[in-house]
Amino acid sequence: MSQSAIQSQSVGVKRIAAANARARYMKRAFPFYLMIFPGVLLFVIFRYLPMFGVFIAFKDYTPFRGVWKSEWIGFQNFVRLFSEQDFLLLLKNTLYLNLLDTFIGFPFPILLALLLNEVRIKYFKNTMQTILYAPHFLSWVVIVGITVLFMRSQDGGLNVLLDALGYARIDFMTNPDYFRPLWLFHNIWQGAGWGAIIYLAAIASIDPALYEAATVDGASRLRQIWHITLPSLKTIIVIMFILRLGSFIDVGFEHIFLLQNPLNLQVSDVFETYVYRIGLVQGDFSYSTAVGLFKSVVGLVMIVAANTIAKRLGEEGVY
Amino acid sequence: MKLLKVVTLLLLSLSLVVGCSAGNSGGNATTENTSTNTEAAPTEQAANNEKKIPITIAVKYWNGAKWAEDHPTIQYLNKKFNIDLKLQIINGGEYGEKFKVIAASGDLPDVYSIGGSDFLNWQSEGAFVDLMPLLPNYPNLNKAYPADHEAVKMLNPSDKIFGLTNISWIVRDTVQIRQDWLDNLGITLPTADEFTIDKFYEIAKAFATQDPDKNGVNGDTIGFTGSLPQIRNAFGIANEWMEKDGKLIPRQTQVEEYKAYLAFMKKAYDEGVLDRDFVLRKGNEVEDMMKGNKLGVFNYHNGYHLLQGDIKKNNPNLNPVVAPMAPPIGPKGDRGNNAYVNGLDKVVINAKADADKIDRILQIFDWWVTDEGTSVMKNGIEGIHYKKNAEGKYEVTDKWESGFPRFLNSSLFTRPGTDFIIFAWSTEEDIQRHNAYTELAKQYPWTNDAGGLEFYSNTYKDKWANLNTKFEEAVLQIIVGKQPIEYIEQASKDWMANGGEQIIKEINEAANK
Amino acid sequence: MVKLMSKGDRVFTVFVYAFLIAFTLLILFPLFYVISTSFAPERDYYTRGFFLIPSSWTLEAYQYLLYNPSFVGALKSSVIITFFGTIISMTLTSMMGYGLSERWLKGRTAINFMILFTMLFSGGLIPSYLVVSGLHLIDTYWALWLPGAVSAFSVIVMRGFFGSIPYELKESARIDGCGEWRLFGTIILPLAKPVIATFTLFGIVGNWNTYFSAVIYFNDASKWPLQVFLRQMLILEDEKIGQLAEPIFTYTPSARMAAILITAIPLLVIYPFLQKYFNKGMFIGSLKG
Repeated sequence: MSQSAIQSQSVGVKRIAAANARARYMKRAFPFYLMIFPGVLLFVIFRYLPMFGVFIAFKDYTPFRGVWKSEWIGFQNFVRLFSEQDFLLLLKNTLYLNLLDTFIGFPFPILLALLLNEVRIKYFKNTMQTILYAPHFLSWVVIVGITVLFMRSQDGGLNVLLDALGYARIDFMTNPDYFRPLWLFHNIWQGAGWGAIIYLAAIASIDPALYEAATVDGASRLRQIWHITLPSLKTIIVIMFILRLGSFIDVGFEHIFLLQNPLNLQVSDVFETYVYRIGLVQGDFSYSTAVGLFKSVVGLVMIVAANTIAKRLGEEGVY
Repeated sequence: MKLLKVVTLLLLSLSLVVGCSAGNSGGNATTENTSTNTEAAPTEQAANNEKKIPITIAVKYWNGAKWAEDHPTIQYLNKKFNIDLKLQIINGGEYGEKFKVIAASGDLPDVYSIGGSDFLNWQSEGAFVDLMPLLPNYPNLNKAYPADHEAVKMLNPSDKIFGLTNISWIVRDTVQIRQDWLDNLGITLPTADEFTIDKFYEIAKAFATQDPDKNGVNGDTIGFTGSLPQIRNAFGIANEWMEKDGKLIPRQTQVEEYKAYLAFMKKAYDEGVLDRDFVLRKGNEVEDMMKGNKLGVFNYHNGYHLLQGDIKKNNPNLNPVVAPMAPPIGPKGDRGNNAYVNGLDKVVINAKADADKIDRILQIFDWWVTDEGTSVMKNGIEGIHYKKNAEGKYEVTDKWESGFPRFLNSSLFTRPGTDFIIFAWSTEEDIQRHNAYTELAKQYPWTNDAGGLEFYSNTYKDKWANLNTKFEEAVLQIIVGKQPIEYIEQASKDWMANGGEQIIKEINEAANK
Repeated sequence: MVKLMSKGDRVFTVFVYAFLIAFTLLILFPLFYVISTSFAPERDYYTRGFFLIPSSWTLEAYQYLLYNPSFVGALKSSVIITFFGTIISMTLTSMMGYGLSERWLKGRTAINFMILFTMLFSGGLIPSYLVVSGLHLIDTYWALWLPGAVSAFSVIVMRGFFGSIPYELKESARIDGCGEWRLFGTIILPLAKPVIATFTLFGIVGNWNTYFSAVIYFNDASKWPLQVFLRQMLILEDEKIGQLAEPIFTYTPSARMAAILITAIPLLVIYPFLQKYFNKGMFIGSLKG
């Protein structure tokens, strides 16, 4: 009896303590929950509510019946995708382009930000930064248009030059070998200055005292980058890299589509262009949703894997 | 966290309701209304138009001035038919996507255009008003759209007409040559009978290697570029499908014809007669080349007199003359310009409309196909968009450009015929030129014998685009010399094996139905 | 830089400048073509191919655009969308990013993952439209402002930035009796200027470039922003003509290039103003001491 009384008493004390702790926690945490709340609400309404749309992938969707009343067809769309004659080709091309972009395109803005940070002449730095950022506002139609003007075989500037110098003309636009480098070059050309902004902001947040100390110690500029700047950028680089991996099976449609022609199709055909092509004939929402869902799942796997590794290595990660 | 879960669940279940009701309102209301529609109001009674009826019309918008809500033409229609007309202007590039979301939310307008497989699929959902029993009440419409016309029947079940359609050009484009270039090179313009594929080659080669534009440089002009289907047609290759021995066959199976065609094209590419960049040039780039005085043989429409003006503007010291030609004759006597399949795009009335509204809408269309109605919808309103000048001739006012009165006539509905580009102020010369061109072009139609049937084949829907891309890839690889001509046999076999055979079967089944 | 640089530093500096100048030239070259074409007569585009200096200079294209009523209307709409859209988005995103940067907060991981998830999975166009129309937001600017106000990317990256603010700094303010909201408004936000400037820039650019959602959510064509207008000029599809061959409106190449420049100019002008914040840096160090 007494034993149980003591027990219940101690449980009661614990409860009170726990309740106090909870009240204290809530008092402390409440303002933060309040800050988060509006954002969460918007996410729920505008991102999660529409999520029921993924069911379209498992249905034979017709607009008149809506998502729910359309006929249920199960995994038929996925079976069709995986048994597509060109599935492996599409996958290979997509992965190839993304590997290039992740390992060559991704570090480029970081490099640019590091170099810009080394420029000590203020006006030079500012002007250059503005110019580097400008291409972000040219759409792919314009960029590809200018490229074609410059690189086409018959009267493109570069080929006219090659011809005048006595070299053979090169079919830059139709030779499959040139497609991937050209695509990557475009990405860097258009995006590096824009991408550098976020790293510049991060560099700006580094404590200047660290550099002063290093300079006193006689560290060279290169060593300062290696020992101060890069370690300080680690968190943001890891975040950006993990997020980049999330879209590992995505490539921008418009850019590829404009660069694509029947002669470079074996290297330029990707899921986006493929879906567009068949969509023109049939306007099939269900199938394109299924392809999108497949890409999302791959992205999720990549992110979860990368995030787990990052956490093992002591980084914060993205969730 | 629990709270979050509850909220999420709540909102999700709310979404079910939203989703369902939205889906429903499309389906249910539709079936109810179609039954009432069959008893149409007689025209005499409706002519009174006592009640003011709101009508919404969706229109594709590409460019030009946007109509304001109080556009003079809208006011005119409102008054004439006692309606309250609202236009739902949809950006052309997103028309398809926007329409799918509007349909899903059940807010479809009263009148809209729709084509191809959507038109076919939505029929079974009861989306459109059947015009078959109604048309006889509207004499002008009934005359303009006879129930036995191929284009009217297209994609419709045999006993129903679900929409009005554009019946226009059968053949719009033909081969055209820069006559002043020929003159510069001392070549006489061939007559229709002399214009063989060899003669074509001779001319194109002269354009490519000599100096037709007299700028002192040989070879900076182009012989011919892609998008010239007349060459393929000259070798007897089908415009997608042709009837042979009572069976429909696709061009991908015409291996022998292709071999002759490819030999021709390959030679043209090797000798520099075919534009080295022909794979890259898109429609507007080809037009840029014409305007820039770089290209002398091309496939173009009846606006060639305007093209002459554009070339002149860019090269003020030239007097460009563009001559429309008959298409070239192939080795076996085949020749033709690609013919359109009329009737694939429909203007439909939403089945949710009640009998009064349907009547009012049909009254408008009935008036639209008359000379009076077409004049308003095309030229605009006299006194606002155009006027009579002192000599008693019509001329446009400054409102013509900024008011864009022909917007609906160009973008939604046109009465049958090709006179939509003839305006009140068009000169006699213009009209004659237009008529002569129409005569010439339609003399050599190269028809697609299965036009419209492809929408009935599921394999076609799933596989055709990709199969066709593969086949074109092979064709181009052969022309630029990456593959031998015999490779076309393999490409044709692959096409058949990967779904082509099934498509042929389904298309022929659809044809025999 | 009073001290003389070591040899290694000098080589490094030369490399830095050489690389940046080369890259900048590579970018300027095509940009120059766009600028030149906008000032060149139409003839140059059709007859000269790639060129850098117009045969004669003209402002025709710019006059044409600025006198075009659709263009002016679109400009107005773009300004409204961008101004309010950025304010709403920055307020909500910075609050959310800061709130989530507190590591001890319960449910944080779940919310983080929930945010990340939306980056990968989306319901697609149709259900999103149904939600927006269910809330009666169609044809209002809220249809653009609200769905785009918080994005996974900006919340995640901002959270990372806020997380790097030293903990002691916040604690000392709290001990001084500073409430969380005041702490956020008067200490954290000013400290985070580089980040705020960066994401304000992203917000402005993102809102300014809004295109597809405007076309989908605005039935009222007079609300379409500049990007819709720009695309109508740039995308020349054959479908436009369709079966009808009639004199359609065509924009001259000069007008197209001029439109690209005019739409980009506000974003280029705004850049230096924000740039000074993310170049200057924040002086956590000096505050700490």
